[in-house]
Amino acid sequence: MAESSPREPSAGGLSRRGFLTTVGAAAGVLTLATVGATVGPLSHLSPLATRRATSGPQNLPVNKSGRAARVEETAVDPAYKLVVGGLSLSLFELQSLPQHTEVLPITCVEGWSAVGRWTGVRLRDLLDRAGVGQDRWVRVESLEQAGIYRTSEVSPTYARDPLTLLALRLGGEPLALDHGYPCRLIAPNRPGVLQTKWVHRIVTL
Amino acid sequence: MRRLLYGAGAVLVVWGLYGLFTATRHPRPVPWLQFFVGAVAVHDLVVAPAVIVIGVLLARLVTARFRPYVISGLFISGVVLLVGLPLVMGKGLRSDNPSIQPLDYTRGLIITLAIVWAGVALAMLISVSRRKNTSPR
Repeated sequence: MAESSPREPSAGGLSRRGFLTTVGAAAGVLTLATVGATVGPLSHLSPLATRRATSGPQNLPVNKSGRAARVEETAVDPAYKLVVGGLSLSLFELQSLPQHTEVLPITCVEGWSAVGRWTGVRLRDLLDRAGVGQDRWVRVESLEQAGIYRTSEVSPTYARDPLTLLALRLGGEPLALDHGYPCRLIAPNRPGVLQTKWVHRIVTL
Repeated sequence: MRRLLYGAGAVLVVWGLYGLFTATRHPRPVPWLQFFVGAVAVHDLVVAPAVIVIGVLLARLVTARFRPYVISGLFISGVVLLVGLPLVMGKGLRSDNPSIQPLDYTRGLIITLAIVWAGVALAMLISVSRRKNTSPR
């Protein structure tokens, strides 16, 4: 047989084609084994995914918990107020404003995404109520005391988009503490870390 | 020419070290050093010897005809283990956030490796049947 002859170049080793096929197969196997963390319908195909679209409180994964953000007390304080410019709104007053429901994903830069059905107040309605100009940037601030993503800046394009909400509810229930109770930002096409949770102040820039 | 290259390299090294201590507000050179030296040490002391030993065993135990398939399988398994072992060991788990790494990764790793080796076995079978079909000519 030719393959045992010493002149056969690929005897016992990987040929160039074999090597390239192997690298491609390794990339394919790893992709399939982890893709479920970001493509929900494939989660059952992916036994090594670091997240599952339906794990976590209210069937949505969490990146930073309320405990890690150290907001366990401030977020559930009955004296909570959302300050928007000169406005100061209690949770009850926020709930009394016109509510809208949107289906929007959390898309984490760490490589997972999951979709939620969010209900809350449109950011542009709040800004109008507070008299913030159409073309102003705003900064959304969290109750979180430390961390580089404690605040996020929202451009007029995002702030005025009808899909951009200050969500009070997820899947019909009040937000879980880990999802940003009492109130979080959720906007389309925005990295998860900029969907600020535990919002307590909106400042015009 | 050589001195020029040494000089350019030295400038880059100094620039890197400068960045290590100034790029963030709280520089942490020790974890960097662990990674920088550790990665090389793990490669030279663990990965390379393991590959050599496995290569010797392969040459003794597996016929030349099937060796490329086994090499492919081991290569893919190594990449899968690189991703899967930290998950099996629970690296990155947090007690306050059960949504991180919610699956049974021991099971996941076994399933993934089983599929890889089933693929290797299938490729071997196909090659055997092809040889049988072509050799009588």
